[in-house]
Amino acid sequence: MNVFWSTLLTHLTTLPIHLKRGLHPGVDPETETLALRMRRNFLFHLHPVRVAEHTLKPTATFGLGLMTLTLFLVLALSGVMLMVYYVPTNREAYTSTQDLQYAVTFGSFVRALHRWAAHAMVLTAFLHLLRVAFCGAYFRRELNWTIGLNLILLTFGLAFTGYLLPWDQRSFWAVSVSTNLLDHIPWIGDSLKRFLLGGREVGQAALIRFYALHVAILPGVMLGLGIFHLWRIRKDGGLAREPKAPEDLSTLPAWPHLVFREAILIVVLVTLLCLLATFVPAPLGGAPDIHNPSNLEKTPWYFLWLQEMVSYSAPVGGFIFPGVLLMSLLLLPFLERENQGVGRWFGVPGKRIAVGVSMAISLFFFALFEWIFMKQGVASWLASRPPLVRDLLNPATGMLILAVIHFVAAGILNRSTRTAFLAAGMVVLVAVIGFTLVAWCRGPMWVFFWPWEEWSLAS
Amino acid sequence: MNPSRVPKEESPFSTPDEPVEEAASRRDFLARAGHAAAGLCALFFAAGAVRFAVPDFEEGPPRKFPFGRLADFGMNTLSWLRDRDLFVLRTPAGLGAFSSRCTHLGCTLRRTAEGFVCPCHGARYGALGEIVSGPARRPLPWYSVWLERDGRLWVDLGKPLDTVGPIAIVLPDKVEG
Repeated sequence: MNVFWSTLLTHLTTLPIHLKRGLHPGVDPETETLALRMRRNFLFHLHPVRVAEHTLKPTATFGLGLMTLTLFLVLALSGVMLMVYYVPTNREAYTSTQDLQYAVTFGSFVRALHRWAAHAMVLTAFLHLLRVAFCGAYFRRELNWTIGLNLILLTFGLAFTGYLLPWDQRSFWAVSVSTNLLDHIPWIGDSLKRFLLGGREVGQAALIRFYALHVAILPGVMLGLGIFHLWRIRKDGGLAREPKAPEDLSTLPAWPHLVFREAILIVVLVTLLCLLATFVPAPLGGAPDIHNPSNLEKTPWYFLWLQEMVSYSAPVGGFIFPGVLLMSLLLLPFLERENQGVGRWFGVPGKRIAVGVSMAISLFFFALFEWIFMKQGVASWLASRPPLVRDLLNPATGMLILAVIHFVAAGILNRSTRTAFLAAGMVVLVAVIGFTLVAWCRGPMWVFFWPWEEWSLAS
Repeated sequence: MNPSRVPKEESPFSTPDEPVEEAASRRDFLARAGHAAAGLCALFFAAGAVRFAVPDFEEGPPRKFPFGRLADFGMNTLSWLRDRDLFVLRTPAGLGAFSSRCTHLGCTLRRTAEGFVCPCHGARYGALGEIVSGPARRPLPWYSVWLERDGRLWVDLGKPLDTVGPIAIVLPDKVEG
């Protein structure tokens, strides 16, 4: 027999063994240790071999980063599925979404899953940012903090571009209103808006641009930065903690202690999403009427705080407040370099009182500002002032000034940059949540109604 | 051969008779030049990509268009040209066209007894588009309106007027129809 045939025959007879070995490269059950396994396995190699015990406590991180990553993967999968039917033209965008919602098998489920995961991702990314900020976990992690800020901006960008795609009345007007904000940027606003929309108004050009951003550009950048973000966690030595002598740290093997917890979190999260998607479908309004908004156009909930501030003043609410906030967040790990209480909520116990005081004071002032500016007399008095006064006198400016006062006062009183940032951060957080709730209560003509009140325009 | 007599491996970038520092600085220079070239290339590509995405033409109807005849607009009435987001007001003083979009964030306005209100953020305007209250900072713009020989009224959205209110429509020498 030709040696060719005999060789082929031998390999065929040993095929099961080679399949097992060849598809599991580097596995040797005889010698494999835990550490070897953690390094060999693709999914496990993201983890360290051992993790500090205290980082396993649920309250240390609430697993928010992992949740955000899981949601990103769910969104990628469900998003690609939606692309099979969705047509990004102004004639077919709405009808193809209708098809997905009402005709395609499992279409409504996939759409609802995508929507719920998107809303959840905005929430978990925001909470993740809060966790890292309030725990001081940016300590000596300047690069990863900066990457993280870019990631949350990308998350907002993805949520916003995705909001337009169903092309119903609500999505059309929410995006129209939000992009008109750009008109209020001096000098470059008009060109910036035309660059984003491909024209003066939201139309076909804007739809295809938002689509390209939503399905390719933003997720691509996010994938790259996200991988970088995960890699930096390992490079920075795992989750942030106070610099201690190594012997003080009790560690546990990542397998099974960390990996099991992660698996459980992922399973629970995905199950909840599936339940939500099954029982609460994504809304789809009527076809867009591009000449007539419904009598209440609200942005998606995560932009409500901006819309509320913008309803007082476009420059302050749309640019000054978010601009100052973003700049402060960018500078935070460079200006706040205290190594005490790293990885602990609100820092060192003795200084936490300042954060509580800031919260109480800012709640009071928020309520006061809103009460003053909702009085009819104040509105008409303001209307007769010069534009600069009208733009600057509003609750958003008030809360911003309050944050600066708290920053200085808490910093000086506690002799601590950490406390200064925590106090100011608390004021901003109260403002953001407060404005969101107030905007959420607004009814037709942007009139404030309590949740238990009926919307009537009699007043 | 005695291993100790094997000459040390030499760097391809420096020769023994050349001062080390000079070689290093040359290498530094080349490295920097390489980085700069790569950076410049990236910058050019990025600039090109941005320019590529800047719209070169616009879709949508023209900004200058006919919108009806004088007879279409009754005396002392306000009409809404829905498809063009325009209000047209005719009074004894003349006829004028002004935007039906809020100058705050562009929502279409609703009529009220006193004027207009924006459903999005509650900006209020008077009957001639002047600001009453709310977040809007600019009054509603009025546009240049004229009558052509064929009897059709034209408006140019590219030409906002400095004045507010209806303007006297100058009849051309001869109006057909």
